[in-house]
Amino acid sequence: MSSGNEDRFRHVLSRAKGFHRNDIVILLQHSCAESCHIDMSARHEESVDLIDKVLSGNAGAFKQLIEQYRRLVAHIVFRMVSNKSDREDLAQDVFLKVYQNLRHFRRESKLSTWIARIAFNTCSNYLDKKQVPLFEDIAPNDMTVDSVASGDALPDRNAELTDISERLRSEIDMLPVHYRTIVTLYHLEEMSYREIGDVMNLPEGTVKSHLFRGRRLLKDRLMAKYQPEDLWTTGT
Amino acid sequence: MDDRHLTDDEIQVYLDTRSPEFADRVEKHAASCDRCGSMLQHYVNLYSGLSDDSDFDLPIDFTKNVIEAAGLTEHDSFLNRFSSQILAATGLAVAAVAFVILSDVSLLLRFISNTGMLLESVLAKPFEGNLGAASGTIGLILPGIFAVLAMWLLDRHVFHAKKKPSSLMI
Repeated sequence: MSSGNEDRFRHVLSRAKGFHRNDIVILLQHSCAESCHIDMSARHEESVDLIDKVLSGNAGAFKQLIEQYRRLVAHIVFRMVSNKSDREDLAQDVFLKVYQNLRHFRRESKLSTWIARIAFNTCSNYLDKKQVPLFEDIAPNDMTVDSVASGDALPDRNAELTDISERLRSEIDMLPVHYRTIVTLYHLEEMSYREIGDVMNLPEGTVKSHLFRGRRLLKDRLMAKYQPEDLWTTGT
Repeated sequence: MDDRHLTDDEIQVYLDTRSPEFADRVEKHAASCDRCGSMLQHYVNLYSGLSDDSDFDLPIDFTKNVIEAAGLTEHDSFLNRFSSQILAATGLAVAAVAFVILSDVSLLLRFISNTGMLLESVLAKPFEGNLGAASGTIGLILPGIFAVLAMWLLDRHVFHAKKKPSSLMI
């Protein structure tokens, strides 16, 4: 093992962001199980309290609910819907549905999962009307490095994009809708396979395979178009 | 050392779980293999990029718009935003009462009759010879009209839902 490679590898790992959900699971199991359990119970009670206040017509509580979950709704709506002018209306629709249907929320799942499901269904209906395919599939081996590099698969729409996040966003936007939704819920909302499955009405196995396939496709496309140093030096 | 190249799935499981089961093989192999090291680097950077939470911003007044659209309002924002309308409506009502009390009722009735025969027949005739009663009645009617107008303004600007959801399917 050369020292150059070791340094590079350490550097790569050091740039990985923070803890992921599974790190937290390990922490739960080994070091802070009790305090984290108390924290989660407190959050649940907080959520129940908030729901009750909203149901009693407390505008301040509804405002708090919106502030708490607007990011979640934005993640889903912005990832699923490309048309910028419709995004705000859809996000507003989501919260109006939340408000009007909150009394039907059975409190068996997390409030965030229920809201995410409303957001997903609202966007799905919108895309349905626009005749955008939601569950268009991609063959697992169709988009390898070779096929992308040969130029057969996709036009290089990223050539003029200089910003790293724009390049990645552009690639994400080219994924089928349900792939990018899964990737978003997993990485930005840190949802489990089961929670994502609940939101999108998909089996856990499908969620996992689509997540892996989507990330592999993104990685292949980026590798085919850019050297790592070209792509990431000014970014993360 | 394991010389087999890393697979995409191995790297993703490693980055998802940081499981010791995969860590040993992935870390050691990536450190000694340019191809796999580069692939790992791409994945690490990709993960980092996918966790980038920027560019998901709804407008600043989004929350306020939703609350209004839901037909709700908050006490503070209500007073702040509609204080001018409330003040205007109250001022008009007070002015109307003062006008009725301070002015000569017969002049008022003449004014009404000049503005239209219909108003005169409806309001003035029933009170001929009983101006005291007319004064009291008009003193109640006019503020009532202004109160209704004020309520209509409040309803239009505060309680009326700007936008209804298109579908309630969940």
